[in-house]
Amino acid sequence: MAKVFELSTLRLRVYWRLSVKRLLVFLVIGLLLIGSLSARSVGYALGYYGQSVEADSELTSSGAEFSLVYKPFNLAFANPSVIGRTALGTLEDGTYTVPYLQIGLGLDLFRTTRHPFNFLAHNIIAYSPMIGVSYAFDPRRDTALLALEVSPFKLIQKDFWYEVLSPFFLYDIVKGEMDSWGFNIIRFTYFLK
Amino acid sequence: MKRLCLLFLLVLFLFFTLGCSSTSHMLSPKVLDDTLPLEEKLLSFNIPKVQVTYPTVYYDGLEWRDRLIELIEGAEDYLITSAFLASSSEELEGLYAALVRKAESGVRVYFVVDGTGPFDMTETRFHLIPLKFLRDSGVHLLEYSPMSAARLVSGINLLYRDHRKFLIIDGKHLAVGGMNLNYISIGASEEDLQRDSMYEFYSPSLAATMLDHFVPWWNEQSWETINREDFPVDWQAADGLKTYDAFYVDQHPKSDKLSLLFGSLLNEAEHEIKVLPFLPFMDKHMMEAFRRAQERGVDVTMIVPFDKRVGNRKGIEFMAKDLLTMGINLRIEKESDASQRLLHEKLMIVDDRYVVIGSTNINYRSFNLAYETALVIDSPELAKQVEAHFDSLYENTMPITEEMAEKWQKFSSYPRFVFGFIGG
Repeated sequence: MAKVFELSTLRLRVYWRLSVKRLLVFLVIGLLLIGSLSARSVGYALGYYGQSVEADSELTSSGAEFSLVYKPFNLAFANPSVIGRTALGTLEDGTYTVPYLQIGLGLDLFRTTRHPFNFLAHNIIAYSPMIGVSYAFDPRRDTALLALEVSPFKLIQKDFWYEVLSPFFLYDIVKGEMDSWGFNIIRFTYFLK
Repeated sequence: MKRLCLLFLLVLFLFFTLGCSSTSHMLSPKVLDDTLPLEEKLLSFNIPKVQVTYPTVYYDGLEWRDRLIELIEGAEDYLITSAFLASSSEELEGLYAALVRKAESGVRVYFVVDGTGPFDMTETRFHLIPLKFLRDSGVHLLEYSPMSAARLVSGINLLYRDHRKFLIIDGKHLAVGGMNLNYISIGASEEDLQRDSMYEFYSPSLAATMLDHFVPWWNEQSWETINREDFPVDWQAADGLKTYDAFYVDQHPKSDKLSLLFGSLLNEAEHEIKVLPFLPFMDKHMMEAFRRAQERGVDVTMIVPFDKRVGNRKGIEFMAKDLLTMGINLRIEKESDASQRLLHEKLMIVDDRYVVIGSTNINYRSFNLAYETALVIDSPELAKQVEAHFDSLYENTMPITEEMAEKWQKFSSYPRFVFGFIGG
């Protein structure tokens, strides 16, 4: 009886994992198809991350993060973007590591230029917090994960995003537990003309 | 691995800076096609034809500043201005106060300045008040591609600058030229004031064209979205006035428009070309286009300004040897009291007929890495007027000889040449 329960639970998790993957792939492809390649729609980002792996503290790392971003629209609410991301960091012993590869969706919840941070920028800048969900892969452990990210302090211009202190969580769907968490300390995204 | 990475980055850098050069279009088959009339050629390059009245020419920055204040005070609905370098100073308080008053009175004021403005390295740096205060009065101020540590992420794209200088008021008054809105352009006393030019005229068709370019460009940069239909043109502005055919280029970085325009004009020339290039950091295609014109029997005269800024001067001197390969009458201003005031003007006159004005320097940076304006006016009358001005400048020049060029091409000047070529 216990074995049957375990088997069905495993099936359910695998099903979940595949469903989430499929859903993400579907959404990413859908956005790519309906969006157009116009000025300021494709960008790249540089950032600095710190990540703590719950299951294996030796895999805790920090370093540079690189992203490619596709933002087909400039919607004032629920503005979507496709984000591909990887990082190159160092472990505590100084060895280089690639902690994750990600592909997923970002969603700017809203955009407003009425906020107290305009003094920070040369031009009028908008406040636009973002949430993101991605399919993540940890190449060190050959593990697929679900990444959730929040950018509560995100300021945007038409050609530039500034993000600070964005927490992220990597969830192991198969095991049904939190795998790791961390912060993107700072991230700058530039959109090409 | 490190070497490979460095090599990759170097190739990437060269690809973005040099690989995308549009100046090869100066020698494209269509540009060199002698069977096509100039007008047909330019229209096929999507360079629109407009009608402009005879311009009022301002060679004195202080005179232009006073006229500018007058124009600003007369604005009733909207005012759009763009300058590469713009900042306030004691001498420019009147100008910026006029802008503030207009914005506060409800006139829509759009002010574009390039992000290098606060890093002005000319004499202006001792007289520089940043313009952020304009925003408090309701001026829609946009700093193009600001220079900040965070924006270093944009890498090579930081090289793209907005070098345009223009003014549009109420779809009626227009001005283009080379003058910035800073101390040395329109505020300084005699010894520091640059020599430059601005051209003011009426042209409903050009106003409409400039607005057609400006509105989408602005919306690409700013959250303050604007609509083209909110910027009407006064279609009666030039009624009863004689007009001349003109062609307008609003160049964006990596665009080939300027190369096509200048290439076509050089190919069109039959007997004479006179050029004030400002900083002639030309690449091989540009030099070849001039060389071909000279080889066809066209007298090409180019005046290189005397630049008291040693860095720029050494950079230009370094490439004098290359410039001489064009075989043209290459002149440099003599060092004198007059030439201490930098000749910032950009001008080309072709066959006593076509006058090219605007913000465009005849160099690689303007043709490839900057937003620029260029207006070709087909007017023998205007050509005669600006030729007289050119000839007066010519009197204080001397030919650049092989010996001088040989002496100037020192390796120690090479970094200045590279800096000038990419950033000049």
